[in-house]
Amino acid sequence: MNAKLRVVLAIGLLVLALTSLFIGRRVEEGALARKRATTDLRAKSPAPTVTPFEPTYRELAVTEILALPFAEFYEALRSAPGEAREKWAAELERMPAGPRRTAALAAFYKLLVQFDPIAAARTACEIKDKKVQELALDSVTGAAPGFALRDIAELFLKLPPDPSDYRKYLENVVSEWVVIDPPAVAKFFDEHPKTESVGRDELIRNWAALDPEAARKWMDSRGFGPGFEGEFFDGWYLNDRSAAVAYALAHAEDLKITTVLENALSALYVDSKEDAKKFIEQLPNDELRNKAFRGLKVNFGTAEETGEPDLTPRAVANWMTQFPPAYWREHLADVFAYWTEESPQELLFWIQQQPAMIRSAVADEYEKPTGKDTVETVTAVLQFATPDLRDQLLAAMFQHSPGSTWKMKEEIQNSSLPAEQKQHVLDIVAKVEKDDEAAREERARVENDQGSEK
Amino acid sequence: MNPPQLLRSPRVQAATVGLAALVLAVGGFEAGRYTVDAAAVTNSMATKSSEPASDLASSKKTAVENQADRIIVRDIATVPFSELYDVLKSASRDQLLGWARDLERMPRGPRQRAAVAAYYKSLIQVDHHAAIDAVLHAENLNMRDVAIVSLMKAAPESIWGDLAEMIEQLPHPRRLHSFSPEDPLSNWSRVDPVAVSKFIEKHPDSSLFALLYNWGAIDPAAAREWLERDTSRHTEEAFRAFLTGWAEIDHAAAMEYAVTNSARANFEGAVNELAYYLFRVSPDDASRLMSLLPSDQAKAAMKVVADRTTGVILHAPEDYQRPPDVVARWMATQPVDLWKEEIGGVLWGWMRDDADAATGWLGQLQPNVRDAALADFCRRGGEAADDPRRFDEKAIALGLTITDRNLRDEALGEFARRLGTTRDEAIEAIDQLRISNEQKAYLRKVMPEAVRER
Repeated sequence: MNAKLRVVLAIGLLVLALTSLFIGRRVEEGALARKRATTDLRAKSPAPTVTPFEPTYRELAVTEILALPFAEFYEALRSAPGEAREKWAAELERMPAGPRRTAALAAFYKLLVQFDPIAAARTACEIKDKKVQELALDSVTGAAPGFALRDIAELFLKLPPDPSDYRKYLENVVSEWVVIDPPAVAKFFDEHPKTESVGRDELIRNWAALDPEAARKWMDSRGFGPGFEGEFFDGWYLNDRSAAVAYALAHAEDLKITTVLENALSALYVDSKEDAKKFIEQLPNDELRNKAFRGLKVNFGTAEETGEPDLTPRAVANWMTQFPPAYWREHLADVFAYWTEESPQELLFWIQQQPAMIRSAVADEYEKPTGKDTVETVTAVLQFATPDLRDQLLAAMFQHSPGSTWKMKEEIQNSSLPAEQKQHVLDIVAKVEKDDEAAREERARVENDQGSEK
Repeated sequence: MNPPQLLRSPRVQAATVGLAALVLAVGGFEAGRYTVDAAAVTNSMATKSSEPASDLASSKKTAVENQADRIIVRDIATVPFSELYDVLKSASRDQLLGWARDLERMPRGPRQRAAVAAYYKSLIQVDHHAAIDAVLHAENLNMRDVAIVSLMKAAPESIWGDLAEMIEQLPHPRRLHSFSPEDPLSNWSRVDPVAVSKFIEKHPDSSLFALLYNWGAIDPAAAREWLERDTSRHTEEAFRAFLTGWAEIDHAAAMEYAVTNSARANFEGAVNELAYYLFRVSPDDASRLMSLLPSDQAKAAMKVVADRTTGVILHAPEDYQRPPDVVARWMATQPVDLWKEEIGGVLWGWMRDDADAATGWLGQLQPNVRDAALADFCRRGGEAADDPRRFDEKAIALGLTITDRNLRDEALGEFARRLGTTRDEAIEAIDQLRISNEQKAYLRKVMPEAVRER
């Protein structure tokens, strides 16, 4: 070996030694950093979700899943090969029924679906025991990640032909998927038209919220009729409120066969009572205003229950009755129906307090609370000092219970009400029945006349 | 001095150099590891971990990135959990709550719903304390609803207790229309009923249904002891839940308990529910229960079987309602007194499904059984008045074959009267039937008013 070669070799060996030293330092620093990060998180979080010890799948029996802190279970499941996961799934199915199996099974599928959604859905679909399968499918659909919903939906199409299960699970998946990728859901429906009913309305609503033009194009291509305009409007309203409302106003007459006017009023009421008022005022006629009030949809509740004072039946009724009765006639009853279930006395008191000019129209909307005793309701109404209002409320109550007047009559007859009061109430019932019959005859006569004209 | 002869060989020289390289590489690597200052790494990590968690996360190239101090979490709906997990695991509590607030402020619509759902589904698995904290401090109540529903879907089994406590602390809990406050108790009691019983002792206003149903199916003796211990728990709902849960694992024991306690207050609903459950899964056991119950209670249970068969039950599981032919056949195996006032509605249902089969079956019954079945069938005719596929003429023809004359007159009189709301209307309807004049005259004669006038 000559001298030159020896020098080259010596330099080479030096470089090698330094490189090794550097690599050694980096490896050690990395290891320390990981250890430190884990310890830090444990210290920061009150939940013992992370421990420095992370067992591999080889160290875990499936029955131990429940006992593991989440992070350990997660790391073990994440690192396990497919065969190990399948083995666990099979072991879970074989566990004796009971809380341990329930807990382990739900935990397993909720986590497995996170990083191997296809395997999770497929394995759950293949479970033979119906109850176990339900639990697994519930866990899979509940925790399914957004990116895998299409594949899961495809797998669910292969579920055994049990319409309720098939529908339920597919519906759950579609309702999650539709807010993420409506065009993909539309394509899925196009490819599997029989599934369309599980989420068509939701699809239109959500797609219109993201891309009204594309949603409309799809609706047109599928020939959807006026029955879907309400859903489309709801989505469009979220996308561009002023454009959607302007459209509803401009085409109000054409839209009266749809639920658009009702949906517009409902959405505006929740967002801004002022804008809702303007909307009502801008509608071209009373018929359309009445139509809009017909479907005012409010998730009623007390302010304490909902945290939204405008959603109490009192608030809605107050708002409605600022308009002339022609606007809300026959629809205030829907508000009363909720109110009277919750606090019948409060409703009666509110009616009594209405200004004289609308009190009569308001009283006409009254109805008996469902399931409440007729005699009890009648007795409460009879407490009113004003005879006219009393009689009007009773008449409205019987009018709004066409199918069960005979039963209410029987209850009054058998009640312990004073004879005079009893007779008075029965007279009101008789008058309601007579008026009702006269109205029916009139309708029949008009129909006959129209028929003979044709 | 000349080198030894051996070292002059090129092969030996190469081996020597190779060995030296290996020793230097390993030695350098180990020396590198050894020279790392553990304290310095710790300090450097501490500095890093006090920075926003997103800084740590950014190196992971996830979709959750820190851009100008503002976390973009709105696109997380399709991010795999494994990526989110690392980010969420590294984030501080403040950062996690900050992301939750950021999501609340997104423009409302599908994107927001998807992002909120994905965020909470992941967070509940990684740090459920943070998830619960975020929900409790949510200002946007609509998004809070979405978050809670997501938590319930993806929660690990070990944290139901924390979620139940969260619901107790939640302001305005009743605004949740797509979620029942009972959900955590229902899931929790499937895996740890004893813990739930302690929770309910602490929060006595909680519903007992889920606990007693699940506990009854897991450990009926313990559930029963807990139920019996406190009379405030002896509600109709509690007995019903316990008994049906128990029946799922032991028909005989549940039946014995039902019969022994059938006279107790608030117990009738439980017996009826048990009867219907047994009828669905084991008609023989249901028959046995009927034979063991006092007559009045057996009749009430039979009424429930008939009503559930003919009623419209929304969202019922696929096999919850049994076909009318199955129900009618089973009813007819019971003592006539138990079903003679209930079978009519079931027969109408069967008639609508398959009139020929129903008629054929009626024809082969014993005369007394057939008379009773047909009499109730005729009496219930009016209940199908709105059905476009009425079988009035068929009902009359069948009614006329009732062998017991008094029963025939009474049943057909009732049938005829129910053809109209007033007597005149009923007579008008009789005149329009496609039956003989003699039959029309007969029907007019046997109507209750006509009988009273005679």
